[in-house]
Amino acid sequence: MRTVDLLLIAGVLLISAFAGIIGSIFGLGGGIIIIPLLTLILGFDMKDAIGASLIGVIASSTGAAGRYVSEGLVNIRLGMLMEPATTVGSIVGALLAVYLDQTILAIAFSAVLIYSSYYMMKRPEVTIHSKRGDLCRRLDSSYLDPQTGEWVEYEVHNLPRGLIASFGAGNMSGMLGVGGGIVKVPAMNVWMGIPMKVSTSTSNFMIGVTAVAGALVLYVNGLIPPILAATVALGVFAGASLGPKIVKRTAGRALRRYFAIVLIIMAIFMILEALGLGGIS
Amino acid sequence: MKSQRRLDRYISIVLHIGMYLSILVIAIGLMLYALYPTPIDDISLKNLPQELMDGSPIAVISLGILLLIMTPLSRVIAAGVIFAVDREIRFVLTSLFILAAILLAIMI
Repeated sequence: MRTVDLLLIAGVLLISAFAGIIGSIFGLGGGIIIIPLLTLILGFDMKDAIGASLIGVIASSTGAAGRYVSEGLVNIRLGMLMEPATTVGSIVGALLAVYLDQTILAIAFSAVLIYSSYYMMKRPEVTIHSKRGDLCRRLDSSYLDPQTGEWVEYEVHNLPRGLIASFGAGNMSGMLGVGGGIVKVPAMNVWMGIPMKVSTSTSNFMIGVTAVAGALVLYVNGLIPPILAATVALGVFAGASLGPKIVKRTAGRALRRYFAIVLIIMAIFMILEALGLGGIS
Repeated sequence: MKSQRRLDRYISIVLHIGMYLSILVIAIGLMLYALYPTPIDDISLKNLPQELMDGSPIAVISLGILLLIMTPLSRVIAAGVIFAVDREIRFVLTSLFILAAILLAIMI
């Protein structure tokens, strides 16, 4: 019995550390990794896996984001402007989910992911020129790229479009349970002219706030499985401490390419899911 | 630029405190649980203080999880305070708006 317990704990730690690494590198929640692995491989209850995964998202957004913020990679003002749009989007999404066909929705969303992936692979990062309001200029920032050792100054463009994308990202996560970071990162990078490293770390910073509402609702009702969630949190913390170190040594361009690959994998996962072959529902 | 670095520093401190505090409390709870395994009761916000008084290891773990959940909220509040000190009214409103949106999400 004890060996089984220990193996199970090791399995949970390993899965959540992996999700912590991937999530913190790419600015994703990691729910799409934690939930299917906990349910399919370790046989946990769906409900328990969701509760634990929300705590994992917050752990990633606390552990890795702390590091990213102190390195000056996170655009805090931009992140905070986009946060309410995501939260309101997820409320609307959850309310709409009842009326929409999840299968069609998931396949349509996968198509968007594949298109964004193609776009990010094919087109290089370009400087955007647009007419900007006073608020947009207030968001301009700079960071020291630890990989090249150079100061990178950047401008923020198309804020309204970014806010709509955040709303849409929230929508997707409300309707499908996934899709916060995978929508926000390309939107920031491609539409708003924000460097890749800033996009992923700002997304990592934001996802914690998005997860808080859901986590609090479950917590207040005693629906977070304490031991599982605690183990997931520790695993994610361990993984999320590695993510920023890997990002430090990765060039922005490479990060963009890897992100595009992650998008394709996610799209395949979601299509399998929609066809009833995945582990999420 | 200077105000941004200061914002970064304070927010990073809040996130680090949240991380270390929750890791510490969760780890203590898990160790207590390994030493004195108790049946896993459902612990909710209502009975958490009582269970903590009774010395339940699960309650200690739950407290650690609660500290973790409160960390993103604390950093929104901390940012709001820093923006208020800097008289950046738009961003003070943004912070308040985030808290309102979370409250709305919880109530629905």
